Amino acid sequence: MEDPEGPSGASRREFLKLTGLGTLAAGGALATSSAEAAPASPRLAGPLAQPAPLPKAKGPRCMIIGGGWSGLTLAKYLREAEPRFDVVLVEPSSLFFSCPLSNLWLGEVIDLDLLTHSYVDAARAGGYVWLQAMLADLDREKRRAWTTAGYVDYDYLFLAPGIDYHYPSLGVDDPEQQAMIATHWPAGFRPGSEHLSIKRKLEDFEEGVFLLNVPPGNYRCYSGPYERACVIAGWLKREGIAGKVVLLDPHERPAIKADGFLHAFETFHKDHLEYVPGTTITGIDPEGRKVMTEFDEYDFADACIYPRVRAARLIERLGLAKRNSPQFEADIDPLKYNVRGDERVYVTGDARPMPFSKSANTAYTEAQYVARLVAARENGRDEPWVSPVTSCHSMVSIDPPMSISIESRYRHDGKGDGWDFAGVKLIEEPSEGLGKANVEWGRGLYLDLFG
Amino acid sequence: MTDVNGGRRHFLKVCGKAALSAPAVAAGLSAQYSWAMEDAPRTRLVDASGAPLKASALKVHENWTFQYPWLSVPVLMIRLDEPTVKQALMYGKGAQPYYWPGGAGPDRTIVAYVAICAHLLSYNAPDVSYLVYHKARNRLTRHGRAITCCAHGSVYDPAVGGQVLAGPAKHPLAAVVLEYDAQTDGLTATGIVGTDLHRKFFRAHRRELRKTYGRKDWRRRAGSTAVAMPLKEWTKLMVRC
Repeated sequence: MEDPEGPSGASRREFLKLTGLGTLAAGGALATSSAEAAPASPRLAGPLAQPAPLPKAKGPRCMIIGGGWSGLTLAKYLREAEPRFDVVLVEPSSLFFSCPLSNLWLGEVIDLDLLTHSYVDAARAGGYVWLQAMLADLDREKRRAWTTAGYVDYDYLFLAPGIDYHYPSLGVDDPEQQAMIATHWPAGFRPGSEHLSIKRKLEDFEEGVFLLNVPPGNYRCYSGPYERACVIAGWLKREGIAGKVVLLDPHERPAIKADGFLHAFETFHKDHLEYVPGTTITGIDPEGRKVMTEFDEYDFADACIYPRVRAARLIERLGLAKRNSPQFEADIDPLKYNVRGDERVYVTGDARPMPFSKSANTAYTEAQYVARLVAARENGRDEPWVSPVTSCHSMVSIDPPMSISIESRYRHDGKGDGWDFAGVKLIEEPSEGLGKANVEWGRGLYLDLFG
Repeated sequence: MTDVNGGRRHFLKVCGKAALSAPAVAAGLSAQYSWAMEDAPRTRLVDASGAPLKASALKVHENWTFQYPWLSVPVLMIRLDEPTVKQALMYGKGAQPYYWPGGAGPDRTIVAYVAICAHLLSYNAPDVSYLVYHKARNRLTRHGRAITCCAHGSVYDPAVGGQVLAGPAKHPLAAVVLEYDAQTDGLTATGIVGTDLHRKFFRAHRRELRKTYGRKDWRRRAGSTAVAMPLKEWTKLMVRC
């Protein structure tokens, strides 16, 4: 798709200088070809109001915001479903860092290089372009999206921005305190600086309580907090540290794989893990290193504090959040994923409003359906809905590594927001074989997305 | 096209598909098998001592393994408890249909498949094996008499060409063609039919394969013999799910 409103020669040179791409452009690698300066977004002016430095679109342009599991899968499978699609993945991070399997790395069951991957490799393997930038603004009428690297005119836009944390859910409203908690006791469900920080915490932990919590609502990685409790308790045991994990959970039993986790707490981690169900955090005293609950206070030496998750703020800022959604999730057609009334803009991954598990396999399978759907729509056809598949192993012991697992699909009740689990398969008896399968699950998906 | 008498529970399905595909056959698909490897070696199976393997040494339902047609490509061999069909037309998404020539052995019960998952290339290795046959039902999909890949839950039918019974795989497992010599009760691998995954497999796992099989040997073709042994003797861990 040719851009009819490319910048003038002079401003283009300036822009290229600003983005450090002058030399490339001189070689003719970046050809934009018209004389008129682009009109700025009403809210954006200056160099950002120039076209992003991208090759000319060779087919309908699919622009994906967010290079997590959902965005990466879309990028690959849109091209597979419709080879004419010209795909641009917009992601500001310089590296992909996997949240899935990260607990296994905390327990030194796997190496860091299994978790980190290159967006360059992903783009090469999938035949698309990675634009290292962030979305700044959007005009859905014009189908133009402004990024920190310039604007892109799209045919289809996919918003897969993931989650943000909602600290008021912990009774912490003061931004100063929020920042302090986020800095000192990161939740560790948005990779990877939070994860690196938690790894150092474990290595430096001397004694006392390492506090973890399960947030209320639909949070990212349902098993994550329970698995992390097992891994850290296992770590304390392995290292002979005089400490224990305290896991505060608002649920009466683990929210998922309850029998498997309770069995693991009792069997493997009795001396290093205290599970406190039915307990909701109502406030935090950062200076005193204390969390308050309805009935008690818990002192801690170190912690990872997990606030309620919400859809990335971007969704709300673009005016796409569902009214009355406690987690600010997007208002989309629950079976077709498009923003209501706009078949050019889709929201996928953890910013979706459907109560699916916010997990990688869910996002991975969901995005394959959405890719096929949009390819079908581009060709004037429809694509029957298929359920995403939540498939999730949890490591409950690190010496030796043993896991339990669950697989589930979903069923729509045919009206509104009603959803149900369908075909849940649980394996709650831990085994070393499942421990291996746990790692292999991730390796397979990394291979698929990064080549 | 399909053996009407030998058919078991899968007969109708296979027959139905075969009938549907008549035009494809007429259109030039009549080459009997679509070989995934054109110059596949003829490789006689031997036991650990180097003596020719006897088909009668395979216990019913036991997982066996050997490497073919490359040293680093694992094969899963099973003796089923019922004869397989003589021939079945196999389908994979977006791929040419092809014929699977059925099981080998005196009663057509011995089948062999490349133990590389057609979904995301998980494979059997000395350290751990993800693709294992069980007569008992798996816990994931409740399929029995099936090869289950526990990495992502793809389930394959060893009695019908490795076709997909459940899970995310879109292709059958590639099948190893076995030739049976009634005189000696011996087995020889003569080729592979099905989707050719070996290039993808080598590319995806080259670092690991080099480590396991050595820089010199990891892409070496199988020679005139290959050692076959029970899977449990070759691999440290058979994953069950």
